[in-house]
Amino acid sequence: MKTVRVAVVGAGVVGFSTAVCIVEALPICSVTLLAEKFSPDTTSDVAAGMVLAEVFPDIPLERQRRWFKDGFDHLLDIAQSEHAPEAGVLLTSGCQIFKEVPAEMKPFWSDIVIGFRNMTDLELKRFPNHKFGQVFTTLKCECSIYLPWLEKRFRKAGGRVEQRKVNSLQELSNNFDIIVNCTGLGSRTLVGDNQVHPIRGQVFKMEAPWLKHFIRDGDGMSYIYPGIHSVTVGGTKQVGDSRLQLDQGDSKSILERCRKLEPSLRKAKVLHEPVGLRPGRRSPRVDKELVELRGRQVPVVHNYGHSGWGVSFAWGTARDALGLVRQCLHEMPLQAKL
Amino acid sequence: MRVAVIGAGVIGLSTAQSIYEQYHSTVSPLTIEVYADQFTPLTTSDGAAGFWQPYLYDKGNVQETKWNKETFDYLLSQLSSPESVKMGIFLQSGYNLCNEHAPEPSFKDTVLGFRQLTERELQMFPGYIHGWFNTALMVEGKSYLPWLMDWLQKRGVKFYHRKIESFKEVAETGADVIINCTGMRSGALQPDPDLKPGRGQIVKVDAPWLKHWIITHDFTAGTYNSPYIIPGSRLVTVGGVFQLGNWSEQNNSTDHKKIWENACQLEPSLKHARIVEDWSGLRPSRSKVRLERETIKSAAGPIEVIHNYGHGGFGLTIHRGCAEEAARLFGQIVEQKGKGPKARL
Repeated sequence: MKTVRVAVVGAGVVGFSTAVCIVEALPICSVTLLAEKFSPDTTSDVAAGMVLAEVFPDIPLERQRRWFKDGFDHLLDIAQSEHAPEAGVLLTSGCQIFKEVPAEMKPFWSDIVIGFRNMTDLELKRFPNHKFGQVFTTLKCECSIYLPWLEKRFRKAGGRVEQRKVNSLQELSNNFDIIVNCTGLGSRTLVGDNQVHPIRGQVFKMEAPWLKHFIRDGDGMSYIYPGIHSVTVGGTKQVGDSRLQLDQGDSKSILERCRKLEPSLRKAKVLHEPVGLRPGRRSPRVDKELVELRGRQVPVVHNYGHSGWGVSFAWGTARDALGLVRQCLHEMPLQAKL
Repeated sequence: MRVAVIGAGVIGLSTAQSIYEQYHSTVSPLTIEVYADQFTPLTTSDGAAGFWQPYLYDKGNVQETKWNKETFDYLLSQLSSPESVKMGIFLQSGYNLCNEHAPEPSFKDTVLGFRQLTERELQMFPGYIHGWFNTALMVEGKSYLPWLMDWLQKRGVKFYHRKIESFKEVAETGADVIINCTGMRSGALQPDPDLKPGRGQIVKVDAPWLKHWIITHDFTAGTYNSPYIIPGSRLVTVGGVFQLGNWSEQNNSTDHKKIWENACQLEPSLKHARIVEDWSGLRPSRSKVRLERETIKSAAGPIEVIHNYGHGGFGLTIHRGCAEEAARLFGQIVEQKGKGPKARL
């Protein structure tokens, strides 16, 4: 049987997760990952990597649950193993608080995370401006550590990595039989999807090793996420904003909001202030199509547009993308006959 | 009034603080002096992980349960102070694991968010069939003690680096009241067959990905003779052993091996953690805390002593409640000596 040459474009958490899933499951494929940017310069590197979710409007809830659960189970296994520190995955407990009681008091992932319950009145006392809260244990996956670990795993399974900016699917069609597009924000230009738009996020990475719990305001705007070597304090959600430079007004606003939630942040040292552009889209695109490239019908699997939930949904959508690649393989012999 | 506190661990320093807080405005002059042969970072309190948690059951020592709760509530109130980081106080959640069914612990209503472990959580810890999750406080000796010393020094409390050989020696300096906070070595000042060393050994490790404490309980092996993993603000404390009657303060390699192997089984991610150091200390174990007055007869006259020692492995956990009680006993002495506020005479 002839080797099927697969190109995975994109080296963020979705790209590498997808590439690993494919290379480990399909020995008939030779998989090459191509990307312009690698860790620590991907969007994933800016993310705190907290496994949480909001509901996507256009995807059946069961599918989102499955994505979330797949990702959670995958990361939980790593967190509980001796590989946890080299993979950058850890268990983290904390709370999500709301200024007004939310319509959805039990989010779809509440039985997938661990120990989910409502906050007691005594616990809420710490947050006088908030009326309702939830406490639970979830996972944090730090991409600056996780991506290099995934790359190691990818190479170990025979995957190849190439640093290269892919400007068109065309340029890949000669050397690859199946293209997997995990370019996040890049899909706007690579495949002309104008639903994809940047959602700017600015954060602080601070040194505050006495902080052991995460705190997240249910509005998603203010959060404190303790990590392995730093605490991510944020943030902003500026739709359509593609500025990568620091905004001093944002810095001020983040500090003000987060210090209200955690006064001891005043004693924290600022390590750095990165900016990331989330690959915004109404819902992630996880599907396949045949694209005519240089006279051939080339199967293209898409896995992009995860907005601010890349880490949470990377493994689950990668598993789906793997399923789509399998379908492409089944359909291919028919192709060869044409 | 002249008060001499012997001992500069968490008990000595916090007792000095409570006495100052409660009496400095009504007793004038109030001179407080602290005598010790070890100061932070060399006290027993410094070696402790700094985790607030009493033993699971108080065995009828309701007084101790009350003092533990007072300490928790006090530390919790200090959390919102701008000094909290300097004091070494912060919240941390975690797991208490048992290898058999056990009644709920004495502190269940004191800590925050106490609940039973879910099935999934128990699956995370093979070999343990029962347990609880809650949020508790950390108070790290290595930060708290220097903060206390600074607090006391700012208020005129004097410190003397000296090994005290007898209560008489201190009485002769002119002290009106002696507070005995000598922990493990109180027996050298006054024999106490009930006070025994509960030797502990720990391994300090660099494992910053750990954000929860895990305390296991083996009712056959006994308190602290079962693995525990307690992340601190910088390093993780891994234990534990509790060897009653063992006076050795040397690190023992057999203990190290046992502690380390058990901890790695409990938390596999520790396998590749960097070990920073080992430490051994003697918990001042006693059937119950000795917190009481004693008037000791001497040739030079009666010596007023307040004993505050024997806090076992829960000194940091109980310190504030005991300090306040010791200060209350001091108040009794003040009354008796007619040294109270003039309005009382």
